[in-house]
Amino acid sequence: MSDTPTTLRIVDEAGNRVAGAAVAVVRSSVPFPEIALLADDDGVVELRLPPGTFTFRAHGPAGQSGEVTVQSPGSGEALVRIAHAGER
Amino acid sequence: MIQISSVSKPLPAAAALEGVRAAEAVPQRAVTPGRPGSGAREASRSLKFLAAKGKAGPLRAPAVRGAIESIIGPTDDRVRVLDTELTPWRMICALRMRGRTGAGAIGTGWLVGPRTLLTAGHCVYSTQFFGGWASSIEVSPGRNGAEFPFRTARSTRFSSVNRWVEAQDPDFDVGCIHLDDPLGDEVGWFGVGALAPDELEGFLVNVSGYPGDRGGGTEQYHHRNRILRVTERRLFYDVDTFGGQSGAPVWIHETDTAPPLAVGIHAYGVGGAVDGLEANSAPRIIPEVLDQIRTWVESDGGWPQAS
Repeated sequence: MSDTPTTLRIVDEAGNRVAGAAVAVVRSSVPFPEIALLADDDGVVELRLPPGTFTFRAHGPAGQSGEVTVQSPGSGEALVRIAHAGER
Repeated sequence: MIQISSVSKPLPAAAALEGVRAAEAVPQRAVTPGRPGSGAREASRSLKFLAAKGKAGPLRAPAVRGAIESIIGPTDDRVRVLDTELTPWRMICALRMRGRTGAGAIGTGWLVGPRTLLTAGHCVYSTQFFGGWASSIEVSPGRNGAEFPFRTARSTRFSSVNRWVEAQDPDFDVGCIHLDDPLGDEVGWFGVGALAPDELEGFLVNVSGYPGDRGGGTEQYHHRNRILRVTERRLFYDVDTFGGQSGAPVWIHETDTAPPLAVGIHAYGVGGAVDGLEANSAPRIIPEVLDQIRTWVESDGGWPQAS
């Protein structure tokens, strides 16, 4: 298990943080638990990842969604920009 | 026979649960009792039209995974359950977990006794998500969007097994939530079965839980399909799921009129094929796990005597 937390920041089309977004891994190079994490008031989700490649999908309370793929170990931080379908 | 033992979240001494207990031998086929609860007896139309029963050929041809690995095949076939105030859907609970850092998460649990829920081990103990034990979990039976058909309970008492807490072994990704409130008296609880692999072969399975992509973990979604493979400790199936459904019951109906019988705890949906198999998976209810479930229910006051 990596000792460095991975931080995901969830923002909308305007760059505003999205509190309460639900974030789950939708593709992974290693088996990953099927939990969904909730972004805090700053739109942030933190977790510790094993070595591998992980694609996260975030769903906002207003129906927006977006994805980001991260490597672990890696930079430890990624931005997930979410938008309504057709606006991505 | 493998040996597993219970590991509980540390509590003040006066409230501590019983300590480690060695697993005992149980028969090859063992079942705990289910009960529909004292709530409405009306038959669920969703149960009639959605749930898979008995054994049958595949509902859908084998397919490869798409952009979301846990959605197997070209379409997402999950269906929202709307009559969640009825059995068996009301036995399935939306979970809101909190870690000690305040981190929040969505999961699913299900009643196996008046005061006892089963879920995935990683919903109660995870170094990845919570830095250890969850600090608290809110349990909402049959949540239906903004509607709460039953009261919500909050718990800070959890257990798992040593093979999960010490080694994070996916084959033992099993967790338990202990309740003070006997929610199960009203909503009922699942029967749980440790069936031999050859008994499980060919059954259609149901998985229903609270995914994060639709309704943010407030709406219950169900899908059914076939068991693809049974291994010593895991069940593999091509049932569509999504993050947040961790901990959901994987259940069968042995006949058209038989009550639900849970045979696994849904826990994994991504991470590539296992031996070439594109499938989602659950730790099986093996005899050792069933024995542990009995111990957990007994520590919460047990099942009522049959009348």
